[in-house]
Amino acid sequence: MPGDTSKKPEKVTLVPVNPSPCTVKCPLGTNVKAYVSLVAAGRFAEALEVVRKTNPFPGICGRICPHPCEDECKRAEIDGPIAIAALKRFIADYELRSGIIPRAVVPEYKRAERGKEKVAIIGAGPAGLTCAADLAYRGFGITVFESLEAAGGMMAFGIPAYRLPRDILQIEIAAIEALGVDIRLDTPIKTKSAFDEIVKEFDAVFIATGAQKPLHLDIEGEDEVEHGVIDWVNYLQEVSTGRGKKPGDSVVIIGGGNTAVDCARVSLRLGAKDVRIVYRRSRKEMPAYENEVTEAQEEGVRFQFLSCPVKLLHKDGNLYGVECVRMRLGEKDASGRRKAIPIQGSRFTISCDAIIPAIGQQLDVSFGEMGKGLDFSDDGLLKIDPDTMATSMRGVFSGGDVITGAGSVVYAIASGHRAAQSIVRYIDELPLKVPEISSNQELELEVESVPAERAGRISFPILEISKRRSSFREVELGFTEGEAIKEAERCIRCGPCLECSECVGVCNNKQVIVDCTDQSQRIVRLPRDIYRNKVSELTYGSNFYEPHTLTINVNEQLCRGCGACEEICGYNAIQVLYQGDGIFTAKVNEDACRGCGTCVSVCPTGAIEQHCFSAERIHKYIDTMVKIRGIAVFACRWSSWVRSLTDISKHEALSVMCIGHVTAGDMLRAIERGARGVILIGCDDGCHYGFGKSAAQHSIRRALDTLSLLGYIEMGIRIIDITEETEAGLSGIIEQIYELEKMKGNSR
Amino acid sequence: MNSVGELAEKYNIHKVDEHAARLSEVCPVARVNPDFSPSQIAMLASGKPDKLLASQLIWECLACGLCKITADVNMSYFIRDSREKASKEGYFPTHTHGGMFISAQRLSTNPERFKKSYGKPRRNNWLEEDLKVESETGKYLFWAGGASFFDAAMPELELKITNSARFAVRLLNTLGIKPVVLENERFSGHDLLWTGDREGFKQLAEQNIKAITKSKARVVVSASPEDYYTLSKSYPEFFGDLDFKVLHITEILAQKLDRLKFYELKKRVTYHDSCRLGRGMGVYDPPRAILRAIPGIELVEMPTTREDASCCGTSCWIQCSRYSKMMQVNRLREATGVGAELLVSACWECTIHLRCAVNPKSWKQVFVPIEDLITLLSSLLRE
Repeated sequence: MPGDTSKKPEKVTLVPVNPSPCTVKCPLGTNVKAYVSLVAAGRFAEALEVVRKTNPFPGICGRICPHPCEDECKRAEIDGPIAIAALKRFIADYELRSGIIPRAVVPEYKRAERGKEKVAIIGAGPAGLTCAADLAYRGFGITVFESLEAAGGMMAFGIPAYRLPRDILQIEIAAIEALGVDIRLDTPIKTKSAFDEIVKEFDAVFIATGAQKPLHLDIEGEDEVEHGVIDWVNYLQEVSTGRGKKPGDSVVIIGGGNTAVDCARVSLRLGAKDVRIVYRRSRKEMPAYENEVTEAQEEGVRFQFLSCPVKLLHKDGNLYGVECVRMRLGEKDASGRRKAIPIQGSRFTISCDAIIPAIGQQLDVSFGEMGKGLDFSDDGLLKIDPDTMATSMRGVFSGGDVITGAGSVVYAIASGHRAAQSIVRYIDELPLKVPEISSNQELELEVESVPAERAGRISFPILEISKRRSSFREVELGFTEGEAIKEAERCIRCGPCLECSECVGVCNNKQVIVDCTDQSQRIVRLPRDIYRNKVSELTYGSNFYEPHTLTINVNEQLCRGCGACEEICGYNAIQVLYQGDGIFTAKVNEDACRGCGTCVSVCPTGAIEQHCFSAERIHKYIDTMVKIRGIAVFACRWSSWVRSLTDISKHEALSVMCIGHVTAGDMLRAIERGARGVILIGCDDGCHYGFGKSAAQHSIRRALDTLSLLGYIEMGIRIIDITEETEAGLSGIIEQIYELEKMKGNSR
Repeated sequence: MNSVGELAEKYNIHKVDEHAARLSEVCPVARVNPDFSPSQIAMLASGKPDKLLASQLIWECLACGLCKITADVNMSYFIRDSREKASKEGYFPTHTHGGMFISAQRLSTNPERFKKSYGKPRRNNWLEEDLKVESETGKYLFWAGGASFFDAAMPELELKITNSARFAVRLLNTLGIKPVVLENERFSGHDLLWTGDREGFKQLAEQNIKAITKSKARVVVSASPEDYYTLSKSYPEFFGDLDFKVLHITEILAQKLDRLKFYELKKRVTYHDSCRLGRGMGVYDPPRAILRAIPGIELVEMPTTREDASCCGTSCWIQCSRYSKMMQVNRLREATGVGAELLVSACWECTIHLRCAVNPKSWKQVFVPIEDLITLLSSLLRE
């Protein structure tokens, strides 16, 4: 009887989950927490599957992504952000080392039945290839037109091999080709007629040609110099194809971005003796990655900060130096960086025989020819609707650098995904704009730092300097298996659940289902019954949904604001707040709640419930199991899946998020219904939640005290430490207790 | 078994309509819970009995007996019997403390079940050696009730109800009474009876009656009003007249006040009437007489007192909620309103419930110390 909420309506509300900060910040919405946690558990293949759900280039992004996720990492408040990108690289490399051929998309990803619609993609860079993969997986016929001799765009021709080894690139592109994508190399679409033909032939077109032309310095003497001003796009392209030549003995690179640093380090490797980067602000303001700058310095690149070129010096068309002016830093400008202001009369000369202006990119002029009929914005970029990626021409979409000027690979991938979604809607004749469902995307997560042991970020090994200057071998060597696990274990796992989908396999009652909806490619996590009814309405959403499966729900009518929950919660996820009029009520902060349910065990009134593990469900389990087995077993689902003790199902143990959830009332109920014992199987000090065992011990104490007052002594209510005897297996442990109780002659 | 309609007739539920306004004014639950009113119960009882059994209403009612005083409606018994019907149909309340108390009470209905695991019950562990008790038979019997269970189940509240039981026996000793304390005492069954488990109640009652009869006790002294009420009213209701008398400890103490000497306590004190002791058994004056016998005490009455007294907010360990808290806070406000420096209750449950409302974790909105009468006396007793 108790418990029993048979009259309470089963009310499930679909609410957007607050994903963890790293996921929110990721342009792709990659489920960072999930894959980092899976790495920590040593499940590298599953981790990679999580990444591939949103990112077809894990190995590439693991190396060159600007990782905005790490900027938001809450672990930084303790000792430093998790090395998220490096972990992604590790799992991609691990797969390669294990000799598995990468698949572009995970298999559960449903493939819709399609007709023979054909989509043309112009440009085989990250945006184009992502869009190609998404559409190919949905059954479209995809043709990619690439003007150069290899696919990859700036990933292949803009980033030197010592940062992004070409085999990684080729493998990940091959995985996309394996989906049936036809990539036509050396097929530039430059003329209006060629473009028109494509528009006519294909059902939709995606333009992702990138920005292939460097910006000019626009200073005195630039037009007169015939030899010595190097076009960095050409330069890096030639280097990438093995035709790179030393630009000169002393090379000056203008700019502070990754490209400038790349050009400098490439020049060193090609034999230049003196390589100097001239940047108008200080090192702090450089947009290039910190580690790249450091590595460049180690290799011998010199930096001339707070300087700006004003005049190129030349003789007979040959460059012999550059005249610069010194700068000082003023107020912050619109970009948030401090403005560089020239200092009067501070001109000086740097002698050099080559200069590489690496100050940005613009669209190739030849594009103008092809793009007649398309609208352009004032700054010369292709104009699109940012929500749908549609250009002014019907059926033509665009993404990547061609719409932004110059951006990171990860943003290009994101635009490729969005364009693919729009193209599907365009072909299905649906309104292009995806109905936005409000989501909690604001980054206002007040995540309390768990009492984590301070353990700084693990830095990975770097190739020794002597080998660096002379070759294009990869400089950063990546994590070893042990290092990766150790680093991933630092993750404090913000938010309600890891969204790793492992629950699906573990859940005996098939209560949980996880699916990627076709359009959004996001995870929808729902109990199966609701999934069937509701998910069709959500198909076009691009948000996360979950019906409070794990987080805590407070029944405000029952809550008397005693504060017991607040006291026991180790994450400050539940707080008793004044509601006015003398009322105090416990409120759950779903961002911080990790769904252990320990608060359930201390709540005196039964106001706190966990949807998936409601009192009703637990009571039903107790009543049934006691009848069948005469023993009630609760198992921590973390330890059971982490340790692959899948035989739990054989013994019909109820897996709870944490054994700290089991209340003294539950234990007494089992005994009252005739159980010979109650067994809690959980972790010891390595508990995922940290305080589950002590909470369980507290509940057991109360149950045993009550029983002894009644005269029931030596009742079998106990905790089994899962780490103790894993060899015997869970069934062995349960069997032992079963025998023990039998020997005592307890009969029901 | 009577239908809900028959029960309604038997217990005068139709009279609710006549006094609807007055009843919803006095009903402690209706005053704080907008979804609850006695007239709603009456309406469903006559019109939609099935809906009544399935509703929260019958569990939210405190069965405090105010309806009887105000309008001669025996709502408590109607609720008690409806709950039995409801649980037979599979409707249950939300059990406070995870249903520990109900489970414990059911477990004590049949302790023979686990033969080998069953040992000597430790519920009387609080009995210290210097207390004078009869081992098997005697004229008086002290009924310990659930004292030791309260302490074990809610360690965080630091209740020390067993202290109260210990002091009760000491007080009896002071009066020259050497009571029997039953080793095999069971729960009285009050909570099972009032949450709809009549079978469980009968099992407990039968065993208790057998044990009391065996002890040859003529007078059973209880410190818990719920047990007092159950033993003296519910046991005869189901098992006919018994050959022992039941008294609340305050009744015995009040009769022999001349033999007790207390130290002075200079305080404004108010007394909280518990439903079962006051309206249930009509014991209003003995506890007050005892308090007046303490030199220095100024006894003040709260706005609702004696038969009009407000309930402490929960009973039977079910359905404790924010509304219970509101009732408790209101009761404590009554006490602070009359300038009381100490609130005394002669009921363990009332003490626990009211204390929970001023627990430091609950933010001291209203603060007045709450003391159990026996514990107060023991601290003031001149040996």
